[in-house]
Amino acid sequence: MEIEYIKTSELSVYANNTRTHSDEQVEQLVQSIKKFGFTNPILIDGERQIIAGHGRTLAATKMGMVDVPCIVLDHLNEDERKAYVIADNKLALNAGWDEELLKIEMGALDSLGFDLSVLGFTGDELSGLFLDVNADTFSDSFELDDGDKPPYQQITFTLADQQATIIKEALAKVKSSEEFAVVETYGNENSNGNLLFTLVTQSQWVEQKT
Amino acid sequence: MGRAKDIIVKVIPSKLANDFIKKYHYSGKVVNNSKLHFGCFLDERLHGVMSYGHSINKKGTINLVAGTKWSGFIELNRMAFDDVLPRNSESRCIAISMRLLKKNAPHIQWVISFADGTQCGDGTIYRASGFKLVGIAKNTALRVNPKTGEAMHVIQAHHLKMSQEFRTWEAFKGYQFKYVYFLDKSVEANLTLPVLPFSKIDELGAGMYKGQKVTIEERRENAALV
Repeated sequence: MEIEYIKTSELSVYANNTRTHSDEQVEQLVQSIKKFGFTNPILIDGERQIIAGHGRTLAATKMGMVDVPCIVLDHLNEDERKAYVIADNKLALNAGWDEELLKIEMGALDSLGFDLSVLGFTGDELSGLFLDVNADTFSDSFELDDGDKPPYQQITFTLADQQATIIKEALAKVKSSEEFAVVETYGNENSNGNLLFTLVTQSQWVEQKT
Repeated sequence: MGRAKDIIVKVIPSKLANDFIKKYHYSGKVVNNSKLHFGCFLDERLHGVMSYGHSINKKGTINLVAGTKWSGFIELNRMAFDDVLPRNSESRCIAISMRLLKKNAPHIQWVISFADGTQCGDGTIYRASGFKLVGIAKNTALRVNPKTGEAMHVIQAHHLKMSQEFRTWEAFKGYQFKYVYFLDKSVEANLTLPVLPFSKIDELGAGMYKGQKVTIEERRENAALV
């Protein structure tokens, strides 16, 4: 099947679409598209009327997407299109979940720091999945860092736009200087930190004041 | 103790802990610094969460106990329970978490925690769990955003670059309480602040329980009547 990229403004909704899309569900689709991309093309007829994918089209429009991937199903007659609008949704709804496996998979994703909110479950559904669990699923052992303070620190400044521009330009100049090439980094691998240190330690003003 | 003895405490993933905290903590907010989450289970269901992590102001807090190494303390920075757990469950859960800390992270010598006496309580559970009270301060750090009605902490305002606005907002009325628990009793002598008697809370009129202003003495009297 061929995928065509078609402007969202050229797609028309099917007036008798029986599937509803709440704002919350459209937002879930937006988050999913942001995370995974537009992975499921819109199904349309030869007149560019949507057969399946009304929610995805709403999400794409909300995101300001100009065009979306579509598959034209021009082999269906009018009755078949009408029926497939329903069948496409209902057939997907007939699938179930292996809840135990789902918990394991989602637990694994969670432990990797993956944002589970993009999976389409509501907060209550997520809580329900995890709250109703056997404590034996979890361990009572863990490790905590016992090291010393790392020998680095972050310092944050607030600058006026004009100040920021001048400082960025100065740092860019320092980057190609001989001083930067030989500056003492004390093990610091942060380039901007080392540039700033070079700038300060090589400044005449500092030399005069110290 | 009743069924409190049946509670099981396990390390749980952050997602699970944070969802629970958002649902049951009075603030509805999680602390991003939380790294270690304990779940409290009864009858195979999660009913409580205790989240530990490093303090936001670690450099300042470390001086509370002289000679503390960089990784020698931790903060209990969120604790939330639903209404299902039986009486005394919270202190039992804390006690178990302290045992687990001693076993798995023996380098941690003490635990700090704060009670918010502007919206929640003056630390009843901490006192029942053997924490020492080392600070009572009139609240200035927690203020209400007049536009949204949302509570914001001074550090959060700093990170969101809202410090200037924050200074103009009204602080919640009440007190903040600082508590410390010694996992290693040998360093208790190095505490750099005096331990305050719990009676100090009533002396200052700082008592609060479940969001209501009430003295410790009144709570004792009410408990005696039950």
